[in-house]
Amino acid sequence: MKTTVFRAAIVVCLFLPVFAWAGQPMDDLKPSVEKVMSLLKESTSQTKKEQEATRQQVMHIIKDVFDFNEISMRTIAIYWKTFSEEQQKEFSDIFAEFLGSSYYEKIRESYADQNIIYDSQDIESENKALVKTRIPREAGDIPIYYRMLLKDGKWKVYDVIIEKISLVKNYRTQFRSILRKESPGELIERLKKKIAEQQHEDRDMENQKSE
Amino acid sequence: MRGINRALFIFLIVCCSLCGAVASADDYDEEDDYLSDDDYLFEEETKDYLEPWNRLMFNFNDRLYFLAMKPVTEGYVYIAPVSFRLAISNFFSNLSFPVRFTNSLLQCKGDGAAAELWRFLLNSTVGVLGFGNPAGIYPDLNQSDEDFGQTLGSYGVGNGAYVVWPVLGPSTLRDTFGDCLDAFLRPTSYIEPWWASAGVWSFDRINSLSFSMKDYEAVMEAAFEPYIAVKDGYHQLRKKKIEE
Repeated sequence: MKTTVFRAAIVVCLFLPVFAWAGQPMDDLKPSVEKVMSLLKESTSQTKKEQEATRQQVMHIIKDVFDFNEISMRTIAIYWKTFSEEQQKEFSDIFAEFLGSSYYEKIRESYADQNIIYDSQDIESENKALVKTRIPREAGDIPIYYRMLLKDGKWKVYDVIIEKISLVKNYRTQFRSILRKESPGELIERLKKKIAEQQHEDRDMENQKSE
Repeated sequence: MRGINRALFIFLIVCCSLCGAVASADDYDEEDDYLSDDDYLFEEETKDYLEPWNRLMFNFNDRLYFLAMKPVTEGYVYIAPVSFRLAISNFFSNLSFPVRFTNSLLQCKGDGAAAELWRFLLNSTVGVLGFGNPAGIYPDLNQSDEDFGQTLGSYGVGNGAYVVWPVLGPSTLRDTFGDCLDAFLRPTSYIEPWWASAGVWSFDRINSLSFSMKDYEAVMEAAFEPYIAVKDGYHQLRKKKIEE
């Protein structure tokens, strides 16, 4: 009995410093996600101009809670060193824009009227954690997990796992197949084109709605 | 005669999958954290032996989705209310209880098998032949999503080649073989004549698609290489399911 208490005390002491100066991963994630959701709920009754402002606000929050530099490094992985410093910077910025707006569109279309359920946070090591959330749907919930990394006292997302599929891994497989044949510059061009397509589609959708 | 053909087909698939169970791991430079993270290391990439066929079938299925499945499902959603579609979904998932139960047992998952049995008994009686899901309120009676492909995977059988089937979509040789075995445990496979069985199967498919209408399009729009994205997604999903 005594040893158990003693062991427990040691474990608590070991982890105390980590918990003391760093916030909890869930605390760093939840308010931002909730803020995004409430902004999106408001945006349904807004004019087009106001919606654009909301979008900017949402993107700002997303950029604050996601570590896009880390995400970019992990998706490009072994090819990261073949990128020049400017290319690394450019890729991070554009990929952030792309992922941010994909995430934004996805939530706006499908989940804006849903309430997210926050299940648990698993601290995996001193600087890594997994936050498990669910979005309820008619035929079963959709699990969305956030992998988070602790940097400078703040937890930031470096991967999103939707229904057991890691986005970072999925994009990495795609980029690897592209980078086997094409240069980093060409990949960046592709990204830019994709964003232009996305915006084009949005505009078409808006036009259809207003007609 | 039909039985012999089936047995022969299965035998052939086993042979193929045993030969094809080759996977290669990429070499990683371990000096940087982003390259040596445990979760991202030793990632296996299955060789795509059947790539030309697979890409052809991937495009065929894409056309099939937009030209047939999507409009049919949209029409179905228009006439069938959510409560009806949910009841149908519950009914079919209750019917495939033998698949999940048997495979839970084969993987020595006693708790899962017991939960499946209770779930089946409760939903078949109180839930009126499985149309309702009274077991849904008990988190302990969650459906355990097991199939024969996962059972084989947990025994250490490799994926074999990745293969995209027309209409059925992405799979691997191992999982295809597993699906054939699972079909024997699915009551709907025994409906005669065969086209009635196929009709019931299609209805089940359209009904479940009605709950995830935009998902396919979302995946395609977010992808740079849609074929690669779907292939990777399939492998990730199966790997996680086998691990669980």
